[in-house]
Amino acid sequence: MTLFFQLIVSGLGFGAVYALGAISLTVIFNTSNVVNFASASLSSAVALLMWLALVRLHLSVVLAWLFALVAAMVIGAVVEAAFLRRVERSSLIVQIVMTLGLLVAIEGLDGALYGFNPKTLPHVIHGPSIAIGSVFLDRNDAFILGLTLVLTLVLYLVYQRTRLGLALRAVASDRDVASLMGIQTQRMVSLSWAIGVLLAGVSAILIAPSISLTPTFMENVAVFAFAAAVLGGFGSLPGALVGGLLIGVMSNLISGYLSNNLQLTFVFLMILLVLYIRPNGLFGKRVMSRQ
Amino acid sequence: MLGEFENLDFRRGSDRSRWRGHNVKWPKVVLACSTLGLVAAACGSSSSTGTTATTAAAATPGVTANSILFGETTPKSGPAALYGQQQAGIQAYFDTINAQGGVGGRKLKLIALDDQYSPPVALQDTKTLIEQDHVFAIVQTNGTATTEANMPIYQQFGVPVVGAGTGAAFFYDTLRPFFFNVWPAYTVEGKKLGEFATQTLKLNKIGVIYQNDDFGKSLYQGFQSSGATAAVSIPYDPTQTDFSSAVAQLKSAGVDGVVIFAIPGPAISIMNAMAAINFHPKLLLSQVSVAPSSYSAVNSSEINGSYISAFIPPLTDSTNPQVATFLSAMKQYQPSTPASVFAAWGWEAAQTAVAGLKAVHGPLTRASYIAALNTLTNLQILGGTISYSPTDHAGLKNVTVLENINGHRVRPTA
Repeated sequence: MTLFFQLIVSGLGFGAVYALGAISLTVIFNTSNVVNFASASLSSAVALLMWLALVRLHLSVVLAWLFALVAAMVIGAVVEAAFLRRVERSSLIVQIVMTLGLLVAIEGLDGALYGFNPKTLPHVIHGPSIAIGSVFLDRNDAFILGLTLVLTLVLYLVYQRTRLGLALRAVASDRDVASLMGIQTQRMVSLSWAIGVLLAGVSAILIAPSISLTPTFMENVAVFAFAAAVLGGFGSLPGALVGGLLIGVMSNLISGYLSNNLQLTFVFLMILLVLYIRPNGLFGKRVMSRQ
Repeated sequence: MLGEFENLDFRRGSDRSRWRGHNVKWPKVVLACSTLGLVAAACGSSSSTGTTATTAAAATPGVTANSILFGETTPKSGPAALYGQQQAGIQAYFDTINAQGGVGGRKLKLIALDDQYSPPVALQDTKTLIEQDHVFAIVQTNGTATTEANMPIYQQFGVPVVGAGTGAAFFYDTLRPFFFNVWPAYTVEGKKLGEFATQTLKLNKIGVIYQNDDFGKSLYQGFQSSGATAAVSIPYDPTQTDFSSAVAQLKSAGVDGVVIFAIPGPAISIMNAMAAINFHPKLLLSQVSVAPSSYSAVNSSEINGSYISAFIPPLTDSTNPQVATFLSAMKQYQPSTPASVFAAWGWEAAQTAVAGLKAVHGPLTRASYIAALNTLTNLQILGGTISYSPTDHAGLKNVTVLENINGHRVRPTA
């Protein structure tokens, strides 16, 4: 039984990281209708900037966080303004290719700048793992989980209860109509990219101490985050959270009891099954469109 | 300005490889290149024949009156990017030899392409090296799956390959006349770790986690051949990042030792996942797993006191003349790359390749080079002693086990 509970507890840490990634994808998708395949390299870039601030520029931890978070938002806004805005009226496939191109280009650039030697970031929370009976919870994982829950709640409240949230939702619903209502739609899209890259960057900074920091280290994580977003119903914030945690725990259970090697395969089989039964994901709304 | 930024690498090969590696297919680029190619073909016929056809060695690709061209593919990006440091080791040895006047008056040159540890990219790179760049021979390619992918094209052109950065059974079970292993076979290495675990450390219950390909399986096979058995064995995919489940299984099984047969990225993640669940078994690692340069990424409670198989001696031991020469050449010619185990792989393959060149009698051709390599006996290289014969291309035969203490590989204390 210890194994069962350990698998669940360990799964929640990575699950929270997948959830943050999924929420990042959701925030961006909700206003710009773009699925951000560049998320892996953008988040790695933020974590590498954090490393730059801490290790090379010798900033204090607080300043380094501030530097990384501001940089993440600037990167998000700049990527949107410089690249995605150019193709916002183009077909879906053009937008996808644009984000895939960014994925490769940013990884290449980071490779040239930082090299591919594994680097590391310090844990946010230090100290030995917390023992709950015979099950251990890594302090860093516990922090990630708590932070993810708080961030999701804050975002949810902003979306549902504030004028800014209303504006963001209006842009998501119909950009032309939102514009006619006096909403600065372009600014909303920029903001959502800034928030999106911020969240992805935070997830990368938090998970880097557990794996190793390279320009490509988030690729695998991003695949699971994408799966989490799909599972939750692409576009739903609570869906992304639940999807991420579910995938973290399920992939651990699959690996523990079925096959470690087929972790990803089974996760995607599970998603296929969910989508077969609920084509809009667990929390997705049915969308009807008239042509 | 920033130390890490010195890794900017715009030498020949690296920038080209990135373009090809990412399969950039732009019609305009293709059109422009083909146009240039036509122009070059039209203009080049007179000039190229003028320089090479007159020399005796013109028939041998990559060999001119004053140079010999070697090629290699190695991961410089992707999950195994650290291995790319082997290029610096080869270059440092070539530079050392060139400073002494080269071999038979010919300077040694190297083209290294990034294969991203991806077999299709490695194959594409190798085709470029052989058909476009016309290299004479390959020195120290890297990776099991990548080198396997390249094998048909080596065979087709009969290109000599010296050193492969793999010890998988595939390369040792069948003798290929043009293919010379430098590393000890993984089965030899796995066996040594198995013996060390059961006889020296006297572990009772051992868990094994291995990469699910010929690399991981060959090591595991060697481990089993030592008579050791794994209470739990877990295969993993090389792109996996979350190992929390795998280590929870090992802990739950109550093993007192874990053998890790993994490339650096996953090995680091596995050890960090162990620390997260307060699991501290005796750890045994394959020599490909981690190098001191990446120890900082591993939780020190795991890496410190772990054991690692080795044929490259401790690089802190400057009383060893082989090590001392390597360290000083790296410092002189490749100061921006750490004098790591990975660089040492390249260095010792280059030592072997050059010894072969020096043993050639008569004109240098691929056939005479292969014949010369077959005569090398008791050749001292950084990793030990190599002897080849027409029926033995197995490379180094001895593996030792070192202990990781405070960021260095040292002789085991226990």
